[in-house]
Amino acid sequence: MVPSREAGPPEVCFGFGFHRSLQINSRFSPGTAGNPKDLPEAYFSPGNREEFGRYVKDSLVPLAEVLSGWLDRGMHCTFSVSGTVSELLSRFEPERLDLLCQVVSHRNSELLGETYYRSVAGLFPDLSEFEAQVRLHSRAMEELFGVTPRVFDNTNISFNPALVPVLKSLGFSAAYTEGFDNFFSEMNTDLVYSCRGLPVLTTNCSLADDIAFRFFSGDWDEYPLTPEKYASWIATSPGRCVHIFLDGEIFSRPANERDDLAEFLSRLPEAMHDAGIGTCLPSKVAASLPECELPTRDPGLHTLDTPCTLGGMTSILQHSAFIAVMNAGPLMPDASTWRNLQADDHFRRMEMKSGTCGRTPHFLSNQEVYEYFATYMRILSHCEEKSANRHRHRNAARTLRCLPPEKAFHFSTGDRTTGFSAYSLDEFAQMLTYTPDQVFAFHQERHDFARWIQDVLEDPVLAGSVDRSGSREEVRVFVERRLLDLWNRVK
Amino acid sequence: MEPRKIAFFAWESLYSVKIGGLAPAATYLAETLAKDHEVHYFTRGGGGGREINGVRYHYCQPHGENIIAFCRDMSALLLREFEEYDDPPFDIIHFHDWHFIEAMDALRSRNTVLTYHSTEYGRNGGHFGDWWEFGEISAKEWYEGYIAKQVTTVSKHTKTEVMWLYNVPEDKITVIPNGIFPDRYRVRVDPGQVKMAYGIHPLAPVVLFVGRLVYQKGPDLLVSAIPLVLRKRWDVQFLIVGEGPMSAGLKEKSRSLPVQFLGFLPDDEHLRVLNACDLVVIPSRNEPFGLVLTEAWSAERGVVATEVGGLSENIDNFVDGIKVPVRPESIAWGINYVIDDPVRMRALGVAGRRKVLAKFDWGTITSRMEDVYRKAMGENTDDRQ
Repeated sequence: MVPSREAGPPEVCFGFGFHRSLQINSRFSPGTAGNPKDLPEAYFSPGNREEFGRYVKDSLVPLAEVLSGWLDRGMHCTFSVSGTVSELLSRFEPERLDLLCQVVSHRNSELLGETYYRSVAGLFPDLSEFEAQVRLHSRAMEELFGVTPRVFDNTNISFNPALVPVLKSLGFSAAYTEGFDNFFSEMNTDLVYSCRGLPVLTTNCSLADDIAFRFFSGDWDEYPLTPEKYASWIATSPGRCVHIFLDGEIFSRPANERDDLAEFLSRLPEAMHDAGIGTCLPSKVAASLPECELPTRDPGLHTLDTPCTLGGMTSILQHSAFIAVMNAGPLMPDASTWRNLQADDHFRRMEMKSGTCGRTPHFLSNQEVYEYFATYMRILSHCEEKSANRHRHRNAARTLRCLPPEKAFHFSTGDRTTGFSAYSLDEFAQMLTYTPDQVFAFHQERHDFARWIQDVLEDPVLAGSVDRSGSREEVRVFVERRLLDLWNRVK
Repeated sequence: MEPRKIAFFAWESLYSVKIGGLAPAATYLAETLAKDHEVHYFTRGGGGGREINGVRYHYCQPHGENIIAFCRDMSALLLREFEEYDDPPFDIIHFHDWHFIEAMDALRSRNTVLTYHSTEYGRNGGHFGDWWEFGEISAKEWYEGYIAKQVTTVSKHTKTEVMWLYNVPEDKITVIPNGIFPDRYRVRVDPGQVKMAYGIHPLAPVVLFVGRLVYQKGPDLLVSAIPLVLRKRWDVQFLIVGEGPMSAGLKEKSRSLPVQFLGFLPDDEHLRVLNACDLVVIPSRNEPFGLVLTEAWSAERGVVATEVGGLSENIDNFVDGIKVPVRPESIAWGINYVIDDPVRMRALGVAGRRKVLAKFDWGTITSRMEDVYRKAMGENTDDRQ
């Protein structure tokens, strides 16, 4: 399975990502949302413009300048620029577009395709939204940079094999997925996998993280990292091509660290040249290297084993938010707000540790994670509630909307919480499949389910049926039937 | 080693009475030996003798008003059974722990091997007891170490302990850890489905404890650690597998905590839970070997364990497990340190499985035991090593 290397070190495919999402407004409160016309602005942080300005000044510009030097020296680079970044640049920093255009459309560059909002839509069971966002991104890239992406960047979410037919129909010849960490893998992540006939390339997380965060760590036993040392590691990596992807955010550091990194990167081409390491572009690699079938169960790859049941999410809060945003489409006529809320960045902020694989790591406390989730749900539910009032099936839309934490159904044994809460009727139905009988009986005896459905979800018909039910299974069947009926109405 | 006739005396086995780690350790050793030797396993339990996986089992049903009398009766019953099968005579008689001291005394002139799976001091959490059974059992443990031709212990820690407690000469002791059949402990399950079967959200991180609910195993330390874990990570759920005298008190103490006491689980369910959990915690106060550790590693589970006995010897800290001092704050720290990072937990488990395959395979362990048998029979083992 592992390709034998005839001679010499592997080639390197360097990828650089420019991704930003609109940050949500952490101070958002339904009571102070103000005029409905101002709503989309109220949902997102008023500091987005300043923050993006800082990102451009500290990360995008210095990195693009270094890479411009690389490209002129004959190095090949791959880029991934989200639609949101291109949109924000056009709006707030149009004078920087030229610099980005210069590197992205360079003859030695390749631009990757992705979802416009760098979203989690690729994990939805219905992939029409995913397809729409990929088309949107491709169109934006063509308009701005005159380049049509041919390789798809899926490193932000787990690789879902169901995407393959869509990607093929959109003209993509290969896709990237995150290599996670070679340490676990029984397979070599430096070769080309194939999923349903589409070549799948995997990034090398370990080498990426050496630059993304270990570079700055004084207690790392390899500190300080020199270009020569790094080039020697690449040279001894297995496989024929190593894919190293770095996020532009790695430059969001104090000035002295940024300068050190810029110097390291500037000197890297020479060190690589001395070590005999060449660079390459993904479309060529995908066409030339041997393939083997993508092992969906290999823990060394970030792939989705059971598509869409848990959406590739790893925490309870992420999962609740994912279900809410996945179901929000028909309830939110404002597609832009919905899509901005699908950005993967929101989900990364709902786990305590994120980053790695070329991204700057984030460590958040329990409380910070919960507060981010709570704000996110308040915004999404507020948006759905406002839209429901204008929906032609107002009552159905109100019952189907998601809820903020203060209105969710928190399951309890009587002595303690069970650790799960339903933030919508859909999630409630899912949770009924595994709610322990003791928990069900506790709530049913107190008429908690019926009161919640009546008072919060405003569905007296369902509340009545649920209250008359004797068993958990009976309640679940009533709720699922009602869900089917309501969704048919609003879609 | 040429085929020999071997007798095992152990008060538990996998196919009759199974309490702790002794049952799988002695049973699997017997089964592996039985591939090349004639092995008879004398133990307690109902029914007549039978052969399972090549091992001939001999059962008895002893009685006694206390543990000492019970074991004395067990020794007498099984010694009679042994004598019936002692023609041709057994080459090796391998005793496990102290329960058959009277039989061992009767057979002291034969080629006896004794394995200390633990000591009474160790079972008491590393403390001396002032009750009469403690004194009796300790005395028996001293005597058996004195009369055995060869002694094995399951860890260096236990070796030091029996040298210190019972003055067993060092050159008589060989350290042979318990082996494991790693593939028996790894099963493919959907962790989300297993968690849901216990009323747990499929994405909630689950911490598993497996062991008797006795002071030595430290379940109380884990329960005290839970509120500290929850302070930093609210969604962690705990499953406690096993029973014991501390059960009622622990349940009362954890009424408002996300803990489920599952009691004894059938083997297949135990394996499902083991393979679905995110982390295994071993909070023992004293652990001669710690079979739970190699079981968890076999299932590629990450481990947080207290730095005692065999756990301390076998875990490479931060490589295949996290070692913490014996106190709730430290156990909570260990859990919090890894629970947020599924990748790291996975890395610990994968490294653990690699170690199990390299060091704890029953084939390797059994050939080391055969060397001890040779010594007990007065053969020179140097040529064979």
